[in-house]
Amino acid sequence: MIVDIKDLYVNFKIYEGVTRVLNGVNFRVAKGEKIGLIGEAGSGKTTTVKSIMKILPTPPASYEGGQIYVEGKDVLKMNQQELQTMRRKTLSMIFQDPTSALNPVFKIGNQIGDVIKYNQLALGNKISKTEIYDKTVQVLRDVQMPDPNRIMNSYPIQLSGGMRQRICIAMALVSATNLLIADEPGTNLDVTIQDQVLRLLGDLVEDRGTSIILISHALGAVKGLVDRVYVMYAGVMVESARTNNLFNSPQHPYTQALFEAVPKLTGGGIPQGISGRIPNYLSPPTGCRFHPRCPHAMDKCKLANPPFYDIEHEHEVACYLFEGDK
Amino acid sequence: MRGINKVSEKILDVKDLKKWFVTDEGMVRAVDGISFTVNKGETFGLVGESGSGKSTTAYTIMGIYTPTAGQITYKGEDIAVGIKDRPLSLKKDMQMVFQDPGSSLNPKRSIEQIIELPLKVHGIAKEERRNRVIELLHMVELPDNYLDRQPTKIGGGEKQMIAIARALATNPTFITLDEPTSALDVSMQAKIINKLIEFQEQLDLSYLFITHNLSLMRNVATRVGIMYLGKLCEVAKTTEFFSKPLHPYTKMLLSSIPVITDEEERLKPEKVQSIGEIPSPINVPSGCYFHPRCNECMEICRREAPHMVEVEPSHFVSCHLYVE
Repeated sequence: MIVDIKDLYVNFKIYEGVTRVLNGVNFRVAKGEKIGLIGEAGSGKTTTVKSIMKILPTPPASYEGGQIYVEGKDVLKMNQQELQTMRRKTLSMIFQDPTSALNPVFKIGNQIGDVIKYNQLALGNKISKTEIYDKTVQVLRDVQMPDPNRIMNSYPIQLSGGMRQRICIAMALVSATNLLIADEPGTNLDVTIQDQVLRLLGDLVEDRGTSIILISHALGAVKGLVDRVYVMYAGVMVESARTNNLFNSPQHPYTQALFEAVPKLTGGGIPQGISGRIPNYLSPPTGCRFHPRCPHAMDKCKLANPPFYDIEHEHEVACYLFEGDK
Repeated sequence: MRGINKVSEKILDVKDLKKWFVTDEGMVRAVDGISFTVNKGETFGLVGESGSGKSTTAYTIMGIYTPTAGQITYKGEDIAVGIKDRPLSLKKDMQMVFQDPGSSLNPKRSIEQIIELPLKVHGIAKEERRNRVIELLHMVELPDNYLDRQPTKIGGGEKQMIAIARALATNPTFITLDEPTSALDVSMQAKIINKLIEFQEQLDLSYLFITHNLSLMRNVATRVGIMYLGKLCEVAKTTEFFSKPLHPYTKMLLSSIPVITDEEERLKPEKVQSIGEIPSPINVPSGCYFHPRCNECMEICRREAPHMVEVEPSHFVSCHLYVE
């Protein structure tokens, strides 16, 4: 198990009060596993993955309970030194917006070179300038960049969105990592470019046996790349299943409503979306956070947050409809 | 499909429209000779990647840009001029909803002031204005107490609803929708699209709908036009467009769409590997603009630009493969 999050609670202090964002998150990633994390904006996907790296600024964020194990060690108990080592050696992250993830005043070559240099330093190795150069060229070739020498001497602004996204992937790959976290890669790119980026990402991960957590709004993109999917709503995981099971037979009322709202290529109009919206985290609903919008809500749902129920092999649903359904 | 059984009466006719921009690096041919029509009561969808010129087309039709060349005919009148030279009655009849409601609504004004402004401009009496604003607010299913709120205090979907209410304020017959839901979640998107379809039926509106989301287009548009580097590649009825795509670029686009159900997967054309990126409109390729990315590229494609031909009734393609 590379990542094992147990019952994680995260709050944010803001001017109006305390927002209770993560509300008992359970999340696991096995070695070499490709995981998809889906849900609407504001459901806590990014907060969850940032917790794994412990890069949420505290304050305003605070960890209120639970454990986050990365390769067996509890991240919340690590000191600064251990955290740095973990971030360099085990994890890397591809951020949502490649334009703001790259520094506009440094050349691409220097930015990738720095990552290589400090990654090697963290491992206790010395690395020469020519080695850095060779490695940079190699990693640019890996992400299928034409003419690596020209790219290394370019500033981010001189490259297109798709190329910048590939640079970010290259930077994430140079630190030989066990887990890659990709936060909406390519979502603000066009479909043909997004298709290229995701295909590339899939191939690279496959070749290296790296685990990946792919966050995306584009449900179809997730479906094509990952083994297992978590569905998140309002700071809770509501369903988790093998990709095919989930897309063929979604069980949680929220997952069903979410899939229905996606416009289909087959046409036939778009069903009315789920009424209401994601709750305000300052005063979230009691019990299951989906109950105010749920067509099947029962009295019980208002009282306590439902645990995960196993409905079949590797298919868990956090909903009282499945209580005693084993 | 909506509007198909009605007699098709042209409301907007665009002929060989061009909009070029002069920049330091050279001439940018953002829109380079496109022709299409929008019929009364239908939704014409304009699809393309970023940089293909779809927003420029919309802005030129709305008069925000003055066209470099070409004709725009609206209800039989030539309107190929900038906004300053257009009569007030025309502006009343053509409205627009922008992509990002966060920046298209003034953050310092209340919702009431925002929706009221077009009514003021078009000379509606003060007493009537408030009633009309409340009526519009109810049309987009928002409560009265939103009147005094500011756009920054409400959600993204609600902001877009306000922008739609503002566009409807003057009782227009034609609305340009420039990616109205691309910044929103799928459930909010579903709500807004359904509302837009409802308004279209109730008020007999014609839409020019711009998006990069083909799955969405499949569900809202009557006819679809695909843009690439300032030119139209293919125009067809939506059903035919998706069942029988002809242009290699259309095939590439359709096969790149990520889908979630098996039925959709079967509907996609055979996988066309997407290669390359859209080139800069300053330095366009010779011949057919798409040839460097095309997997069916022929010798002629490098030399000569293809013309739009009608391959089947009302199915137009601009590709050498379909020229005898």
